[in-house]
Amino acid sequence: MKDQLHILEKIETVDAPPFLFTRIQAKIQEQLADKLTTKQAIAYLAGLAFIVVLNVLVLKQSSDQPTESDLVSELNLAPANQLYE
Amino acid sequence: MTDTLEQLYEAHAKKVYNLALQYVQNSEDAQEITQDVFLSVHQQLGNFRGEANLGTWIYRITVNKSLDHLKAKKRKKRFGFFSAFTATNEPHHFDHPGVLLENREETERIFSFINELPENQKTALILQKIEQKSTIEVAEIMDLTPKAVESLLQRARTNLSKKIDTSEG
Repeated sequence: MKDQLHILEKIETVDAPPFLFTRIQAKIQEQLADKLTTKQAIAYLAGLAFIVVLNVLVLKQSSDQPTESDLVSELNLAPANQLYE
Repeated sequence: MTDTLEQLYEAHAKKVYNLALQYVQNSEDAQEITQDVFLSVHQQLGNFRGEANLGTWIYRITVNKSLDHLKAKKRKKRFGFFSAFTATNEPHHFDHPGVLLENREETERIFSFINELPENQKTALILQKIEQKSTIEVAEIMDLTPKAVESLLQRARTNLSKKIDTSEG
């Protein structure tokens, strides 16, 4: 068995292909581009959430304002336009 | 960061590529593993705490990436029914550029037995027998004690011997 495994010691060391590092650099660039699009997506979502919150706040504020009938009763104004009753 | 990576690549690419070759025995897969290793190095370089030697750390990544690559290939084969139509699931082919032509047949036969060994026995055997690492170096790379490595190597030899005997009838 030892003799048979001896053949493994005859395996020679070879050089890595020369273009491999260029490929690695390209993959790193790809990953960076992917990361940028993720950042952009997060920015879009944050903007959308801000607009929704702003809308809700404006709607809430407008529902709190006194209505026309509230003003009429508060100032003791005549509710109708008839001058002679 | 890219300059650092380039320096690391210059210093370690040959070792990484050759170690990957011992696991997959073909140039195409070894190139893929080498790429994955250096991408991983690029991502994790900031987290490297220097507890281990940089070379040992890169060796460790290479072992893990090679084993992951083999597992992924096995999984592909297992669920290869659908991919059978796309011809991407080619059978494992022996194309080790470090093996001389006159030794090819015998080396391929021995590797076919080594490939059947459990992962840790295979790793210990490759690191010691082919990469010519000492037991202490193997222990560092595998994060084991030298005694545990000796035991793994012993079991690997026993298992290999059985497989070779069975094949020879």
